[in-house]
Amino acid sequence: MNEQTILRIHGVSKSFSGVRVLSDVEFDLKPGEVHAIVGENGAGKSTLIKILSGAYEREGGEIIVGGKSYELLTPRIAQDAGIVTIYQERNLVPHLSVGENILIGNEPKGAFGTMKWKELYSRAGEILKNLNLKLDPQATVHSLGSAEQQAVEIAKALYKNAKIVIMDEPTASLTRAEIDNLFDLIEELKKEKVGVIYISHRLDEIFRIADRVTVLRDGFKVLEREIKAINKDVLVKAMVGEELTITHVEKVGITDELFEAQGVGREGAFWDIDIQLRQGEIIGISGMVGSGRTEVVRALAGIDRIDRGRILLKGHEIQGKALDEIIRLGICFVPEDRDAIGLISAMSVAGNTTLASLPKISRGPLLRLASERELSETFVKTLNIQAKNIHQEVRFLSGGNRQKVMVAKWLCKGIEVFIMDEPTQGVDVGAREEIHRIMKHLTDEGKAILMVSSDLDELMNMSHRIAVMRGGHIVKILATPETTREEVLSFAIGKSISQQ
Amino acid sequence: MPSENQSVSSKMFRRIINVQQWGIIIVLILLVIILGVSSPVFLSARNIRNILQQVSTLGILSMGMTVLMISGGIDLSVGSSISVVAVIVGKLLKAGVPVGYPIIIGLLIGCVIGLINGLLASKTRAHPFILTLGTMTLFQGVAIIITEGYPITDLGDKFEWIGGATVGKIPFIVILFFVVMFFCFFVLKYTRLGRKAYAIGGNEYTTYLAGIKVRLYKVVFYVFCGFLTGLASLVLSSRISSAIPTMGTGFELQSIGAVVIGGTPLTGGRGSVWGTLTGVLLLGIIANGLNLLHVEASWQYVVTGAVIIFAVILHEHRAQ
Repeated sequence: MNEQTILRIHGVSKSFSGVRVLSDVEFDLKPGEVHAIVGENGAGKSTLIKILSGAYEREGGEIIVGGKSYELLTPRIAQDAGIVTIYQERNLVPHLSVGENILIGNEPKGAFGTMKWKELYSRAGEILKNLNLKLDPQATVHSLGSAEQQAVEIAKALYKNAKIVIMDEPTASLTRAEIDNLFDLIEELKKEKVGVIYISHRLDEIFRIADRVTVLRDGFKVLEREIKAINKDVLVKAMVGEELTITHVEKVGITDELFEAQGVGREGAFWDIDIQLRQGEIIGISGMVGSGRTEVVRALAGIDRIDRGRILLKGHEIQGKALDEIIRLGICFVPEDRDAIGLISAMSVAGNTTLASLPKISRGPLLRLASERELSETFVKTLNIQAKNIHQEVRFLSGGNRQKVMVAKWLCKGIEVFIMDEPTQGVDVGAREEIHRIMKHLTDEGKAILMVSSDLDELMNMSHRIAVMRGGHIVKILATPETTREEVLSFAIGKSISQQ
Repeated sequence: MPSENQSVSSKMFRRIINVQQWGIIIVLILLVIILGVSSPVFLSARNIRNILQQVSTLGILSMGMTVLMISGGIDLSVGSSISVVAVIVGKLLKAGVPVGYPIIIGLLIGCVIGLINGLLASKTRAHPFILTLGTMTLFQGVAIIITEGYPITDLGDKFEWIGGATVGKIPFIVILFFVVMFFCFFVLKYTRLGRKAYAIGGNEYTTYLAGIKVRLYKVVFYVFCGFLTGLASLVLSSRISSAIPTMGTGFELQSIGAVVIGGTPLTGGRGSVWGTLTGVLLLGIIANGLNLLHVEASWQYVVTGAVIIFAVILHEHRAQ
């Protein structure tokens, strides 16, 4: 088998700001093989392929491509070594033709650098024909559909003499027929002795196309099997891991209904969302990436529009109202992307804390800086925000502390319903515990939290109920601690597993 | 932990003057020393008063631009707005309207021009740089149409008073410039409006998500800048006692230059009036000093351009 491998990854690790996201991972790939990688969100799949494509630098370990060990992989070196990644976002030049895109960088040039168009199109046509693709090499790329563009990417990869093609969720935006075409294409790649690394959370596809499967969990490789020697049950068990001892939130203090969504929907995004959130309650929303989780919570927070249904906050209908009015009624959104939309990074801790409650720290149009200082110092203390002082710009704080400043902003405002998207993503373990402590403290005070999380442990430990989303809809609401991680995941992936 | 033994005054001083500003202040001091040594009149009271008088128009204009640029906006049309305001005020004065009305109308026109720019910038998705490039050309045309291209001269003693009056030994327009500057400082530091300028410039979307009416305030900042543009126009036309349809040309770039030299980035979210003051003084002193040293006007452009490039590189470097 050794001479047969085109790729061998040995003991590769990676951490981000002290958090291990990949630990001693082993992986190999043979020519003409489809090797799938599966795992929950955050298991380390994307990190691994980003290391392979040269986007991230690895920490330790060895990567051998085609018998040659690579000390350093940059995007350029990875490409030269024959590794091509096909991302969900297309990497094509939209206004050039199919042929130009396939041969880009290697166009046949005549004297004085003029393009030999005839040769270009005939070469491109040959490649397309080899792949059984009925595409016109002269067509402009932006006139093609998403699936056809993907096919062009694959043709481009083949032209570049790719030995290894990495596909990250390639079927996310494809129809059933297009998926069939893609799989035919993958078969062609296999005939050309190209190795394919296939990442998907659609387990059905993996059983259809893959020869081997590797499971990652919390950055560790936990399983590697021939696809014929495994069934879905074993695969899901490996993905979620053993049940952890659960330190669960107590169910005391849940009383009145604070927030309710009734049949909320938006064309093409989500439909028939029903949620009731009571005082002191945390509802977790689970679902795979692309299940519509973030879209739903943004709409429920009044940021994005809805087409139908009602959103009630303390009995007031809030759909269609201006955002500042909705916030005044007591609901807020704490986004996943702290830096892009959650905080003003060039502004101080104090400035960010009081941003939503300027009237509170002013008399008429004038700011009372002394009361701003007092107020923000209180929050820095109670939330244990680690900053030099309240005048420090938030961009200098760590992820966890930035997260706390976002929460401080809304605590300062006196918000009652917190909608949080991935509240602890990218923060270290200590800060994570503190954020959880703050969340529990909020519910003790009768506030309510609706939380999207990719982290099953967080969902199981923090929420009273878990709403599982798939395909833009809540497929099931499960009560904790009665439910299990397997149950949550099986609803998130699709019912087929739970039928067994 | 902040060290407790730090004196209060030095803390205050640091808070007022951004550390990044020191580079420009050093350049300014060096320039003053060099010019003071090479030209005997440079440091005379008369010349200093002269410099301040010369920079007042640019100063008033740049204070409005500072507030606008901190909020993430930009207005390229201020130069031709100066011309439009001046020629309308000139026409009214020539028609014999009592001097108070043209002044008020001039300031109102400044506000209306700001309103037009502000509505364009907040209601459309186009970049204000391009939008105001459009209004700049448009207003320039308007100014020429109003006057048919001819300058309006001799605007009358009463109107000239603004540009010529002194309080004690200090010219009235210099006092006006400093009043405007302290007002802008106060607005930026001690009012909700000022805080919103920094917030919107720092991250428009975050500010919107915090429940602040971003679109409304963007318009407010353009109107504010427009008002001060009107004021700057009155100061300029009364000083030269005429209204010329192209008199504002070049002011937009000078004032944006002064603001940028002062450390306010084009992206907004940071900056202070003190920074802009150093920028304005730097530009004024370069022009004055080179005049005193009998350097040709064409070389003044070269030097001014080089200073702006140097300042931007310095800020970039310090920001990292």
